[in-house]
Amino acid sequence: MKKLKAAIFSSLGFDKKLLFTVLALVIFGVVMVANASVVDATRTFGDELFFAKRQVFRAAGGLFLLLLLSRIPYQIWNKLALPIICVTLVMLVSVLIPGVGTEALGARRWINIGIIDLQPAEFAKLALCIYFAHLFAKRQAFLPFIFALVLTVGLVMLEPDMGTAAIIVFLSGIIYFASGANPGYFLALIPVGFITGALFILTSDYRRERVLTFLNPSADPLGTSYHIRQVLIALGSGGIFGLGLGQSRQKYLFLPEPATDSIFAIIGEEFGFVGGLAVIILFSYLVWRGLSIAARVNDPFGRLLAVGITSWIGIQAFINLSAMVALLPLTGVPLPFLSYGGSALIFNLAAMGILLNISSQRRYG
Amino acid sequence: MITGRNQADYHSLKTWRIKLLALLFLLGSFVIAARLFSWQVLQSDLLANYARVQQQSQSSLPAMRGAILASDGFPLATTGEAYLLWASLKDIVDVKRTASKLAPLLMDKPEENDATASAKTEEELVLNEEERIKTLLGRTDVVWVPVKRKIGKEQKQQIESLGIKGIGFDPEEGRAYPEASMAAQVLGFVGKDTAGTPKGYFGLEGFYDLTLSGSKGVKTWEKDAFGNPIILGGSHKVGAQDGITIKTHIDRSAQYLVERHLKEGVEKYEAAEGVVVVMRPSDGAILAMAGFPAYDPAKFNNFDKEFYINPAIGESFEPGSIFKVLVMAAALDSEAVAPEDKCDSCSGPRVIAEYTIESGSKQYYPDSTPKEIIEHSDNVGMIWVAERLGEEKMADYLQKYGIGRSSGIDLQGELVPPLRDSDDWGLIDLATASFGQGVAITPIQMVRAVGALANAGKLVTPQVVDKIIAQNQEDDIKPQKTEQVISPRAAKQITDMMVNGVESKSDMWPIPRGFQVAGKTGTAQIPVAGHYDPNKVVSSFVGFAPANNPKFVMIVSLKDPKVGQYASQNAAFIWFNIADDLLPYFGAQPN
Repeated sequence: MKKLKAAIFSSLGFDKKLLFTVLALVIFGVVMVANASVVDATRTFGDELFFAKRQVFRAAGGLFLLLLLSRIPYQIWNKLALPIICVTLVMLVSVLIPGVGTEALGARRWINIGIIDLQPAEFAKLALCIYFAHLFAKRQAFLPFIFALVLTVGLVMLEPDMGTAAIIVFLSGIIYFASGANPGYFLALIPVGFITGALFILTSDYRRERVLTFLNPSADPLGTSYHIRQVLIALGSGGIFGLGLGQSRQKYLFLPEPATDSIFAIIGEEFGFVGGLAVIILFSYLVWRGLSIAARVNDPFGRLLAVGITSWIGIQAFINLSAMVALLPLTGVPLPFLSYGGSALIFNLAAMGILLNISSQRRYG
Repeated sequence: MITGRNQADYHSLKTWRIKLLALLFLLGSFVIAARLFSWQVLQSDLLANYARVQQQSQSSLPAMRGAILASDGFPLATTGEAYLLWASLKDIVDVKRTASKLAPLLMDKPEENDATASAKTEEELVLNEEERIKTLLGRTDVVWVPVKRKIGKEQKQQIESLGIKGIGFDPEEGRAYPEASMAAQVLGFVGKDTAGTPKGYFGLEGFYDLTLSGSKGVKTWEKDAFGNPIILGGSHKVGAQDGITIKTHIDRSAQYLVERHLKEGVEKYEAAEGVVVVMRPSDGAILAMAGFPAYDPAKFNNFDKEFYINPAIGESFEPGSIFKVLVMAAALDSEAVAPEDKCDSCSGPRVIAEYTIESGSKQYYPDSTPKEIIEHSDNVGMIWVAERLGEEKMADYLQKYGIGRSSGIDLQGELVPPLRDSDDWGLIDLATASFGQGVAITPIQMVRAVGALANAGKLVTPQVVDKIIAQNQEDDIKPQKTEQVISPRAAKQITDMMVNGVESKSDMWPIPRGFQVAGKTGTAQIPVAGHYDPNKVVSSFVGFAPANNPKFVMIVSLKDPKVGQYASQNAAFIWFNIADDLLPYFGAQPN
């Protein structure tokens, strides 16, 4: 048995610790989605496992994709970078077209392609990691970088999806920084980014409200600050060791989005500070593994791709967690691997597949 | 070599940037973890409390209020079945017909004792009630209205038999009074406090409110955001502790006949009001206590607040001549006067400072003995006694009799008129106090003090409640410690004088045949704004019987009687009528 295991993993030859970290997060995520969504699922669909079943199906699909991509040499993405970014832009445009894109809660974010609702923005994050790694692997291509970035962010903001746009901006900046960016250019970008972000916030009522709520959470406990208040109540009633698996009371329709954006609040309520800290450590460890892979790869494309993918997961996790502990306003960013959501989980796992492939080649790079 | 070095530089530069990134991520995770620690550990209690507030529902389980029993165990006040009659307006077919059907059953029966209601005829009351119901049912701003509260079981059955559509009943706790308004002012009533929870006011309901009300239970359960109970949620129940039942010394038969005689007396002598207290002198048990007019505790809302006050404990008066027995007993006890002493200043009116004090009958008896002074109710004689006693001892004895302090009776609403400070007695104060003017007392204080004369000089604490009953276990409430106020010898001497006083009027009064009665009349003037009302008096009779072994001490007091000039012509008759019934009832043997 041991020999068999060893045979499989040695033939794969990738970072097993990273894989186990991802597996741990995905399995825990499925359990927590099933658990956190049970009240809403029963109420809305009359089937307490409605969300759980779908999440299991997607996790299985995502893990299959992960294993597949971990066997495909990552260099292929360098060659396909241009077509991929073109497909992304087409999808980002088409999601805005009524009839193609599906509208929900005032935003056009999904394209229905038969079995699943695809979220082009999720794909865009992976696509940009590939495209920017491709760009900067050869030279300091500042202008094409800015052009692609502004175009993508602009399209994402039209949906609108401020959370994803912020992640894209941060992860692009990190790739640019890691590529050995001209410090002057890079520093110049920071105020530009801030001013643009501030303009976006101030020109939209609901964004401005979210920021104001963040700054003064007690202003309107039943209105705008209801969500963050319920998150904190969940965390606080979890205490140090939590109420135990399945014992959340906040999921009984008090906490909005218990299975998606707010799943960390349910984790905190059921497993306490110990459980929440474990999740933070898992993500930190994942980021650390990803960045050490990047540090060891000599191939510039592989290195920047590893940095990009790792930063994407890291930034997204940290934005979600920061919002959960009221360090940032709530932006509607799901927690990678853990939150309910098809496109996000599948593309997160696909990206991990690519990262694993990079890790498997590092000795030969 | 050079190329290699450049490549190495390039490599290390980029690794440095990746290391910086890793450091930033690490820093971020520290900040998030610290913040999480703050919410989940440092502020956990506060947040968990918010969670409880929103996740838990509570309802209180009412505790049944304890009953108030008469001495024979029969309930005077009990918690019974009562109902709220409501109407669902959209289901009412015909407002006018519904109102006219309900009105005769729902209208308040005219109160015998209620002066405001007696003016109206029954027909008018029905019409008023019909109008009230019509207005309620005609409302368009609501769909549900409460029509009438505290509907009894029988009334409910009568209404149900009418088969009216759109009305219904909800149970509610109600206080029931099986003996109707008997002892109303002793019982007090159960109203609602500002928070809407039942609360006892006045009398026993007020004094024993905590005992009677018990403690409410609480049921707690977990709910979802819409208030529905959650499946795996726990529920927690703390059962209600029912109130404790109290058993009084009030004797139903005695109370009944006291109330009947008082009512008849007040009506016959056209008094504004009257009060009777009957106490057992040996232990202070209150056997009967009544005021008239009183009120119906079941409908206390229909009466003015002044009816709630029990005059036996809550109204003060200047006692007049009934006070003389206390002063005389004090003088005998302190040997300021001896029974054989003769008054040397009783031949005419006394002038003290700018006042001239006459005797009530304008007759004077020189060389009177104490016995004769009591017999004649001689004011100038009493001044002689008081002057022998002196200001200091007067104040001291009155204080010992319980004047100027609470009687300690277990009823809410006792008034304690202040007694003049011992160093504040002038000659005129001493003189007037000797015949019961210029001092204010309550009937309970008077009956308690005279009780000491009847009880071989020992002062007891009046007590209404005999036992408390919880879970079928009776606990005696022990009589309070007694105080020796005057010597048994002085008590015997004053008793003999009081018996003599009563017997001297045996041709006038219906003294129960074969019994010795110790008593004293008093017709007191009523102080009004610094002087005495020339037309109004308070007529009282206080006494005990049988004189040698008293079964009871009783006071009868009438305020402003129009018939009979003196207490000897009205209050005394009520006293003897009651005593005539009570003596055989209490098993007293005639000589």
